Amino acid sequence: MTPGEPAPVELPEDLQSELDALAAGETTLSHYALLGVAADADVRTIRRAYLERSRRYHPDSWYGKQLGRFAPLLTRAFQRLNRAFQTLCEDGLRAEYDRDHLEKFSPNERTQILARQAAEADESRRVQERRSRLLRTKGFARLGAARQLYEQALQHANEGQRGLAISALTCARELDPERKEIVQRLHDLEKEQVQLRAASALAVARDQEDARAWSKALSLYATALQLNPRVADAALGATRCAAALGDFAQQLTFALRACELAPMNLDGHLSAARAFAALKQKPRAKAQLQLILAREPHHSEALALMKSL
Amino acid sequence: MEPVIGIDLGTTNSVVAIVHGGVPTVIPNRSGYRLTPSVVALAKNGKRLVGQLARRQAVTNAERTVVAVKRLMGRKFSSRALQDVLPRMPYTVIAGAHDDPQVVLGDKQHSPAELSAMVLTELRLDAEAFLGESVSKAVITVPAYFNDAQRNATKDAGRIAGLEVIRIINEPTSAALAYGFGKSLDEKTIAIFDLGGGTFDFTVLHMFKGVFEVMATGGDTLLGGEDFDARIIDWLSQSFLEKHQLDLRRDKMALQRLRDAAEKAKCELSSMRQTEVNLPFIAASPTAGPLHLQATLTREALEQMAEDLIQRTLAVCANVMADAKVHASVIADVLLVGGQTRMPRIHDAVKGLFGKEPSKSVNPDEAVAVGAAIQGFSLISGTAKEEMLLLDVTPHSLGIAIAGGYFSRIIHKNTTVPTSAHHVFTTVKDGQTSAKITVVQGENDLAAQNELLGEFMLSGLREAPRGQVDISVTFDISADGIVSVSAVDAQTGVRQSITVTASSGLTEEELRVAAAANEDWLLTQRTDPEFEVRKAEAERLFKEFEELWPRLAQAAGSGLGQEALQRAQAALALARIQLLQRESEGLAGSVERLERMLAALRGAIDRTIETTAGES
Repeated sequence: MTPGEPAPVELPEDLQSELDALAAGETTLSHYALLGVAADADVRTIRRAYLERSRRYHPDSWYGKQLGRFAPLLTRAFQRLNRAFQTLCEDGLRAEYDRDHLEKFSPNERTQILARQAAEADESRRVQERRSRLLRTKGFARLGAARQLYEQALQHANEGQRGLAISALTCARELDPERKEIVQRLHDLEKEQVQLRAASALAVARDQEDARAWSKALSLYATALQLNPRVADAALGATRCAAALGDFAQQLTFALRACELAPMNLDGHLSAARAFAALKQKPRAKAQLQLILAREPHHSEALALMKSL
Repeated sequence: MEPVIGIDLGTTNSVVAIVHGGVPTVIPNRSGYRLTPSVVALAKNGKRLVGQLARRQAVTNAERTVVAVKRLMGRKFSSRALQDVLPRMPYTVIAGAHDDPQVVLGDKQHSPAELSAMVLTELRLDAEAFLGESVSKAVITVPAYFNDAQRNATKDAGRIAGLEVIRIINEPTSAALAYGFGKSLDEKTIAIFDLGGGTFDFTVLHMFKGVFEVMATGGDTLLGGEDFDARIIDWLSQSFLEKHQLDLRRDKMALQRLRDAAEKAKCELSSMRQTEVNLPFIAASPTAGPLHLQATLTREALEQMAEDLIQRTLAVCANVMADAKVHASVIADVLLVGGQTRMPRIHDAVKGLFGKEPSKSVNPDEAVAVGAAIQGFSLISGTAKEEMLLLDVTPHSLGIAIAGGYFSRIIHKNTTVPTSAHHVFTTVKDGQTSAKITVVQGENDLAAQNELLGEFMLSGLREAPRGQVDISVTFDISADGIVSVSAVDAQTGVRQSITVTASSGLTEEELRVAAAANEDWLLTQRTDPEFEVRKAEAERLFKEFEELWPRLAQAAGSGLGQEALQRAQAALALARIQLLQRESEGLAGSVERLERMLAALRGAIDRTIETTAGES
């Protein structure tokens, strides 16, 4: 690159043209079009669209990249997105926006808005009715519904459908937050689910390791460890794979985790010692080896490594 | 990729973490602990002590031991907030040149930023020792409710410590990142209840596919674990006063002992129903001789003393949830962060408010630093698709003072950052060429009740009849929550240069000097006087070996074993590495070994030459 010439812009081409188009269409693009949602979208959909688009426009997503003339465009795009979201997620502001911009919307958007307004009126009438009905019934209707959901969840759980059971229990907890067995059961199920996921990640990781697919196995072991931070086997597996890949930093991290989780397992200490040695941190390597030798004075690999140090 | 450390610079303790091989890890300090006390002291022998060492000698050296310096950060000396906490500090604080607090340590004065920088430097050295490479980039956390001046002071501290602070992030958000790490597929709304040593923050946050959107945040910068301690200190010293007509709080050494005892009692009451406070020889009376303090504190009594503090936190929670427009039942998980949340009464209060058990999936002491490390990693690794993205908000409204002393809001609180807003000013007099604008941050309708960020003059305006000159002023808040202001003449497009004069804190020059002083200190720490001697010796040996080498090679060809040569080469290589890494101890050993080898090789050469000469 010759001096004076600006550094090449490190943004995907499609984003570059998108930002240019956004800057050109500053005044015409509706909030709905900017967020990429239908004009009758509900707040949940709008929020999701906003969060997904943020990833594209937020300056942090391109931190440290050469943006050139696109830097201010990117910030502006994010701020516009932000404004659009803030407006549309608040009922009063959204209604005002819809009213003020009606002639600017596309015919399609206009129909959607009218339909939504009709639906909203309908919904608010229904809410009113439900409220008055609920006011007439007593609190135990809620509790009864919660009870029913809880029993359903138990049945799902018995049939092995943990996902369904969890969603039923979540609803039940919302209806009756005081009931201990609902909260407890939900907590147990969620924990079980995470542990199962961890166990399955661990199993697949072992297969991958057997097939010598080290980097795949490493990431699976790491996942298993994240899901269930108490599994020493995952940490040991990860440190083995990192060692096979020659990545000493990772080998060290996982070895130390393994030592923390299973201090009696000498493999973890040995791996840590090797990693320390490879990273030129001799005193630490020696400390690990001494730990091993204190427990098993004739550990041949440890002795060999100690000697070479 | 350059390492970025995440630092939780706390009021009582600090933690440093890093994402290492894709896994967030807390870095233990060089003494092996995961928490480093945020304490700086000047020892009797003039040495600077930081962390555990400083904390351990606090009782015997109370006046030269600085604790809780975070409470002074970015505050003006005359502010009420500062004057309220000063009486409880065992060290001396005086007013500096710009109404900034200066801590007196021996014959020197230090700004709060410099003292924080000493803690940061310590953490940086710990990280470097752990990673085995130098560290120059960091993400530092601050309470969400910190204002612009406090954030800037924290950034300054980083700079003095020789760290490039790539981002300042809010503590509760940071804890949420630690919670959300590896849960990128979930969509849920969570709340973070963060009661640390000195500050309280409450944040409601929505997470979806690795994007974290802060819905609302709020807090109290003068409410934390230290206030709980203070209640116990007051209770102990009040009963002592009634009994012996002696106020222990006036004696700095007694106060430090009381402070330690109060904190210990508080922590014990988190697991026990009652505890004993025993402080023998706490004071001496002219008539009765030595006096001892003995008291029994029950958990109930502590809860009663602190009930109003707990109610204050709950009121903040309610306000923030109203701002976020969510109901307590929508919140899927409540995270407890900060050591003070270990108090059972707080646990119960939070459970009562949300109707569910608080989540225990993050470590209350470490989550903030871990989150900061994750944020640093996400920024630097720059693979936009997988990393976590934070959409944080500004905790305070930003605006200007207008006629009548009122506050006009330009950016409202809980607006997602980065954000910017315009405001058009116009001249009020004919031929007016300058205007003064006062930038203020806070929630009060009266400008004077809010935090003054700075004042600036718009000068060099066109001369025109009043109302004819429009100046468009833009207020920007960066993703760090730091404010900047720029102005443009709306008609001519001429850009006004504005400098917001620092209302407190350090000037650019002071910063530079402090950073240089810290670097000098670091250098002296890294130089072992013996090292220089060993270095010279090693270099002399390298040279002698070099000169000897041709003869050695020759001798090796005729009689001297190749093995001896290889051993010498290996020993030389090792010594070179030790020299590069400044391993003084190791180098000493190498020098000794090389001396021996050299002598042996010389002897061997002479013998070989003799034999070959004898043969010919």
